[in-house]
Amino acid sequence: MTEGTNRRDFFKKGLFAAGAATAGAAAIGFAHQDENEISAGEKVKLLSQSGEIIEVDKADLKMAAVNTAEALEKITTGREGIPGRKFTMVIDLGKCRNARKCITSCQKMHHLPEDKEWLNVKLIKDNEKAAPYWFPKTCFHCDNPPCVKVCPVNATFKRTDGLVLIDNDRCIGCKFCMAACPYSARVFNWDEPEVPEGMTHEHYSPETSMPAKVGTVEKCDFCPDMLRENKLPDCVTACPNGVFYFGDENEDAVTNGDETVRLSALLSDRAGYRFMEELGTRPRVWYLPPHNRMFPYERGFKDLPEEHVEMYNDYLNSH
Amino acid sequence: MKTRILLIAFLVLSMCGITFAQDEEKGVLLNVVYQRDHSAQVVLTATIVDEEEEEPVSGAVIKFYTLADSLEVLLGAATANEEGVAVLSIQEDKVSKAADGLMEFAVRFEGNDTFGANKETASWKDLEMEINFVEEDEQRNIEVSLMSWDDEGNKIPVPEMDVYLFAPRMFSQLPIGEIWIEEDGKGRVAFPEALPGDDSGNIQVLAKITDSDEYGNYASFKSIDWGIAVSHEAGEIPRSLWSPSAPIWMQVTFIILMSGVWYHFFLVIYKLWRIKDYGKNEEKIIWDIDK
Amino acid sequence: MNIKDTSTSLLKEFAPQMGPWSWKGKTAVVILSAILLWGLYALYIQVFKGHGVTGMRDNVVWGLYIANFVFFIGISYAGAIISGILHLLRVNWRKPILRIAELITVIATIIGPIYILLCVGRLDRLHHLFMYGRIQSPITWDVLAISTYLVGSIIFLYLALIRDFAILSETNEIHIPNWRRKIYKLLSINFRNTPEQVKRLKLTLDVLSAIIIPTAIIVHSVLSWIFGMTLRPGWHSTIFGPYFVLAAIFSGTGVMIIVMYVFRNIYNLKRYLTDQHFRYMGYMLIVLAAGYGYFTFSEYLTDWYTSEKWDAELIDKLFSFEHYGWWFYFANFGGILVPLILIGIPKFRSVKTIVFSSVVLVAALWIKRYLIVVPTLENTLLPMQDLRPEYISYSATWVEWALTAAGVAAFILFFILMSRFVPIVPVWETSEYLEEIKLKTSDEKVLSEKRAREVKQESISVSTS
Repeated sequence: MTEGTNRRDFFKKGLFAAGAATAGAAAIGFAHQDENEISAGEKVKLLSQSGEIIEVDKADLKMAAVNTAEALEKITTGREGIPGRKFTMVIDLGKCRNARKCITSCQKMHHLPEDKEWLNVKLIKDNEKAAPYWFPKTCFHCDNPPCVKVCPVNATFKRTDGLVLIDNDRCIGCKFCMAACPYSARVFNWDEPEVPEGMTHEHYSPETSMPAKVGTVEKCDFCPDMLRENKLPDCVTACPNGVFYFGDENEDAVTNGDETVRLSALLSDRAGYRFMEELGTRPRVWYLPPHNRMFPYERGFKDLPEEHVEMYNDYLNSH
Repeated sequence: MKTRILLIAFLVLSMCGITFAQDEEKGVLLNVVYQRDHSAQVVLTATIVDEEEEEPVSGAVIKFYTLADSLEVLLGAATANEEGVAVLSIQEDKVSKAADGLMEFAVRFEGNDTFGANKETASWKDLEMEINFVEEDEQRNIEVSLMSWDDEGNKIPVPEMDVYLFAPRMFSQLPIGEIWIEEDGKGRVAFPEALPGDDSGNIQVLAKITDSDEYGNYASFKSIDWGIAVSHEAGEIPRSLWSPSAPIWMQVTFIILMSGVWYHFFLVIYKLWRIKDYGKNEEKIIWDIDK
Repeated sequence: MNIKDTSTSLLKEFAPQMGPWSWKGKTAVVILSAILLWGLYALYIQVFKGHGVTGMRDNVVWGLYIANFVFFIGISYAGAIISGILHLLRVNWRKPILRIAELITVIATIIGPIYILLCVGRLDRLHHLFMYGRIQSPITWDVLAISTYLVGSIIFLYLALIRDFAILSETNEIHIPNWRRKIYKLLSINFRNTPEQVKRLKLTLDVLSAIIIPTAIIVHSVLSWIFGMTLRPGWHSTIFGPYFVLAAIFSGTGVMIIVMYVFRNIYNLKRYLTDQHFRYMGYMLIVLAAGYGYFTFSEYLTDWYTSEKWDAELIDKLFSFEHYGWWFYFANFGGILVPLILIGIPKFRSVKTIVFSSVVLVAALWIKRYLIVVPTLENTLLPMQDLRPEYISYSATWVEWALTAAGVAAFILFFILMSRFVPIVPVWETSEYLEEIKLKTSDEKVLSEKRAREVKQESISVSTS
């Protein structure tokens, strides 16, 4: 019983923030206001996504908060997708220079230790004549996910909004999903993970994946707690080169934080492809070929320790 | 005696130090941006940075004034955030406006221990924006017209302006076109094709003027049902290998296999029960059964 | 026919193994228990420190444990096939070796799944398998198939034991402590060999033999599908089901021969576990080795011939002496050619060579399971660029070796304990078998004597004429 109440309290505290953000989002689109209506009630100041300041009527905010309360009920299970959304990511390989800001920001956001990466940047050389390129790899949140198929306890699941998440309250740690994922997207808590101070089990939701638990599997989750607040995942905003585009396929728009483009146009103009399409996993992550690269691949070695560079060079020599 | 002199000298010196420090107060740079939309809200955003390093001065209290007949009337005050940005939002009717729509503003920073005082003034003209959706020869267009006022307060078109059009999306605003306003204060652009809208195909079209020297920032919007309807109901998860419920054939096969085997197990156990019953009355093993 | 007398003499012969412990037996139990305790200590460490104490990491998520799991479930086939198929075919010589086969099945089916549990990170959540089970997952298939198989094997073992329990509860020929006699009596479920009882026992044995065979095949197929249902090179193969089934029968028969040999020597059972038994089992090995060799050849030939990128990478690793070459050639040539040559060529064929071939093939098949599990996991589709060597290639830690040794020790210990509780050669059935042989040979004797007489008479008549 206490566990339940605590969790509810926690979400109540989060309620205002989330509610405010929803209202803010509504205000950017002016969605809840009629064109000619001038609200005269008490105003609340909100900072919108694009950095603009908007004021909304407090009444509107309350309404949004009520709606969010319903949504929050769903966060507690985390199994319900955000209605009407189909999240997708596009990674522009021509822009990546292995700055590794995506990795570090992801680790910071999810309280991961330095050696645990939910998202990697691989150096890839397709064949002996091809030039190497940096290849950021998140979880692909496949539409035909081989990992979810093999889970014996429904601990990893696919939501209507396209996300593939893990419930580490339910995971039995059989690691079958890790063996089944052809992209090695999943990591395991081999030892007791370090849990940030003050974070307890009651804070856990599959949407935040925190705190980590020993003997369970975890992976990149596209930051669904951020998405609920209409915010971009951390790797997207952290990238200094705008490599990651993220958005809702149903809205046909993706953004890397700086520019927003139509998904369909981007994929057709830039020959977007999905990694290892032949596996039939139907990833939700697209790649733009490393064409017209902004940086030579050696730039990616710049801030790396010697042994790291050696490892990459070994790979290049063997391919 | 000697110590007393030393003490006084020390005090004098340290006071000098304070004065010295005050003389060395750093300067600040102020900047103000004006922004309004059709809902009669005016948002003034002041940015404060230190003069030399251009680092934001957070915590600085900024006062905003509107200039009425060269008199500064206080609109309000705001504190700069970590990025040195202070924001004031007010109803339009509190701002003094000339007949031609000119509005003059002043922002003041009154100084603190580290930074000296500064002031910045700026002025913008008000305007009116109208968005229309025009369908001609099966071509769907967005038309924007801009109006302003002359010295007598008569409406006049605003020519030669760039208007940017956006469709708000979940995370950002998707650019859907750019209009060049002609001499007659009007301009048009084709409505984007196959753009998804809400459940009934409604799309908000947001028109913006940005960073105009004369008009500052202005935004207006209007919605139209020219988009593709996209359901925002939570979708159904089908029976599949990756969903919680398995395909029917799999469940049927599973039940047949399991019940087939277990039926025989129970049959055997039942037979064992019978064997036990049959042996109840016999004392010893009957060895000569075959004879 | 005098089954009673034969069985009494048999029982008398088995009395020493069921009586007080010999010092050899005691030493063996002490050593095996020590190994088992070492394994339990390793398990304690693993449970309380997390799986970090094993050599498994994010890329190679499974290691020795899964290889052991496949191996033990594989050898459990001995019982299913020997007792199932031979029973249905009414092969009489199976009778003396029946119990060994069924004991292997039950013990291996108990030990095998423990290894899959060792791979589970959260043993405290095993009940989730039943609370939230998804039948789309091959793990669920495995859990259900193996538990079904275990129940079936135990019933099968028990059915074949009922008559021996009856004899044991009744006999006065050998000393049996009272408490044991009570257990035997309880387990004999009033079996008194009445016609109705005989009829029903025969029926249950037929039913279970028929059902245990498909169950065993399903068990090993779904086990192979744990690998086959993934998009990994070397695993994603359509022949994995039958390949695993055949490998299982092969290794099961091998273990069976080894166990027979060991018991024949320590309990001096030459009269019942005859050379002929070894020869027959040897013939089975030839057929199985040929079949297994055929599957192995077609599996690697297709991968090598088409040389898809990841398949080719894996094949390179397996064939190259810098990686797994030695192991690979031993597992796939040694394990197949040694039995084929040593048993196939009559000149080499003897009990000793048959047993030697079995030892080689069992070792080869264990290595083979390791080579199925580990190299594939080490061969990820995306390059493994990691500075931590333990994340790139797998090497088992002492914890895993301790638990592997503990499994083998538990297997032997279980066997020793069972062999002291029930006769390792089924008394009733072997008596039947011996009586039949006697009858047959006496018939033949009568026949040949008669014939000799006739010939004699003919010759006399010829000479007289």
